[in-house]
Amino acid sequence: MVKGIPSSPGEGVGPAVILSERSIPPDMRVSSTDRETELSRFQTGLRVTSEYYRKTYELVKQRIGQDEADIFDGYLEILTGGDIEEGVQDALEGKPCISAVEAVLTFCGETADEFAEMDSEYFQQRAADIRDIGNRLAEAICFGDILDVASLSEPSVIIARELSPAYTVTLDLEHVAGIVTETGGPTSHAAILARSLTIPCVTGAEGALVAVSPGELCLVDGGRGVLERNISDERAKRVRENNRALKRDSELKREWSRNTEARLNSGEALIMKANISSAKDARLAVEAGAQGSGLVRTEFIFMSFNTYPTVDEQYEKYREICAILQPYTVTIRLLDCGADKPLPYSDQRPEENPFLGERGIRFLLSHREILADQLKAVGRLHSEGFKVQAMIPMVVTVAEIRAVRAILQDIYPELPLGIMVETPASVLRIGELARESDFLSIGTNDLVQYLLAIDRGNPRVVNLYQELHPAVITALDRIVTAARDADIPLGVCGDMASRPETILALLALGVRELSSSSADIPRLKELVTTLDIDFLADIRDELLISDFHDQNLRLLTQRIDDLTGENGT
Amino acid sequence: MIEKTLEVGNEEGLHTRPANKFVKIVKEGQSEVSLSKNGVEAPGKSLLKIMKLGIVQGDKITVRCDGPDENEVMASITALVQ
Repeated sequence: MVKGIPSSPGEGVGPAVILSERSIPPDMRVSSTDRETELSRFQTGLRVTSEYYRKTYELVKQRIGQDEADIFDGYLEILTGGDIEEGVQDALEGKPCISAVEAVLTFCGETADEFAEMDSEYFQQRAADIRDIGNRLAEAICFGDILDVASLSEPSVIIARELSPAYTVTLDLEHVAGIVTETGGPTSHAAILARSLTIPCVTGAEGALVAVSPGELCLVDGGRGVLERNISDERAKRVRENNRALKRDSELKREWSRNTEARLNSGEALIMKANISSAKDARLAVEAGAQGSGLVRTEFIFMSFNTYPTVDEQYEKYREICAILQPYTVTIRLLDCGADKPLPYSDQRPEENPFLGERGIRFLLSHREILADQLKAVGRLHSEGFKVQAMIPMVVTVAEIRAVRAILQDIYPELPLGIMVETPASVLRIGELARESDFLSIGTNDLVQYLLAIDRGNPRVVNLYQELHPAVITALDRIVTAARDADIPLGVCGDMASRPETILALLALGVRELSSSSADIPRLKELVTTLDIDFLADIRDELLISDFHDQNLRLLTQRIDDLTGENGT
Repeated sequence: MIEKTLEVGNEEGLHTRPANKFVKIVKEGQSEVSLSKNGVEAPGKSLLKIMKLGIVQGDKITVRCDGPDENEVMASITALVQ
């Protein structure tokens, strides 16, 4: 068993497909016969590799589009344009003659190094492409073929050191049962993709490549973050049957959710929205019956570009999302990079305390052109009649709201502007902040971590990360009251809006708008539609006088058990 | 032989895709083409060498065309680059 980081929940089984550059045997790198033999090996490898890129080009053109495919046409040109051939021929002139593989890897390695030293960020990143071309070519010379991930014959577990965007575009996703990467974390490219496609995924699984042999039956448990090898056929069969049942069940639940209003049993209306990062997520949200989005994580949209996206580029991305979610409101969180989500192309330097560092609005106010561009993109959508609003992350003072308003004043003064309530300072000054905001949204993950001074990534203190701690309950109660006094909408978009016990607490305290991941919506809607307002009022009273997290948790778990018992399910 | 200095207006500069288009224009024509930036020259048929020039928006590049269709080729290149 290999342990890693849970990155996309669910279980998947299938034979392992190891996606690494197949390691070149050391003797292929040094041994040599004579120049003519090595040259002819090179020519054969070149033919195989060209054929591979031609196939990839066709495949990407079909599956994704002409623009993305053209990149592979470029690789093909680099490969066949004569430069690599010339470089390899030169390298083979020396005595004693080196191997064709060595010549290819040396030439492409040196060329990649030259790109890595160029001024333009774009050209620096081409170094990886050139290395990739060299590795494929070496693989073809060595093995006579290239491991093709584009066609998997059966649902398979993909194991890789990392999954680059270039690999993922060619992956035959219909046949991916699970993804395991040795590097990365929940925000890596592979993890995001896996979550949006509901493929189980484990990242940071060090040692996975060595532990598993190709073809071996493996199980990926994305919820626990483990990869198990040498799975019995019976177990694999059970997992597959279970997955089929879950899939049928969740399709039925989604359909039910789409056709059912979010209301308490006693009649009060709720709003259930989805947290999303892309247009694809927006489609899943609609399928799950979400009423818009309470959180668009724009940092993931920014990460899909090689440099800061322009106003037009952002506008297109947000417009696509808003169009899918019409007629509901979409809340665009202004770029919240830094801390655990650094932007690869930003000028941010590593900080000693990134969670207390230049993140959220702090970053935006020291990069005003980026802030202004994002406001222009969102504002333009609003001016065109889309229901969209902007949300400021990491606010600690009204000065930050005013600074953003000042920019909007000259461009789109009508754009609704709200704040994410996630710092202790914002809770203590919530009345003042609410007066200057068009809406409030509680980001419970950071709020709990900052209120309790707990790093929930630290296993030694993670048991003290308590979402039902009396301090959290008091904070939530204050925020609800402030929103009511200011007569502005209040939502919750953190993890607390995704689990039955904590939702019960939020509703009891008076929250009426929840934003969770799309996958959770049907299940949560099932719960909330059984609740009565009096039942919630009782819970509120108990929560407000309790001194202990454990007591609150027991109370809520008990109430949920009572409910499900009553329904006989 | 004709020579022309062009300012790169293309937002992407000569990234993989536009540079590949450049090479295609050259290969479809019959003229010899070269381009240079800051005195460093690359043959118009070599995508890798063109990319190594690292041409970005706003750069000034000098293009030389020599052959029977040099004017047509230069016109196509100008349209692509500017």
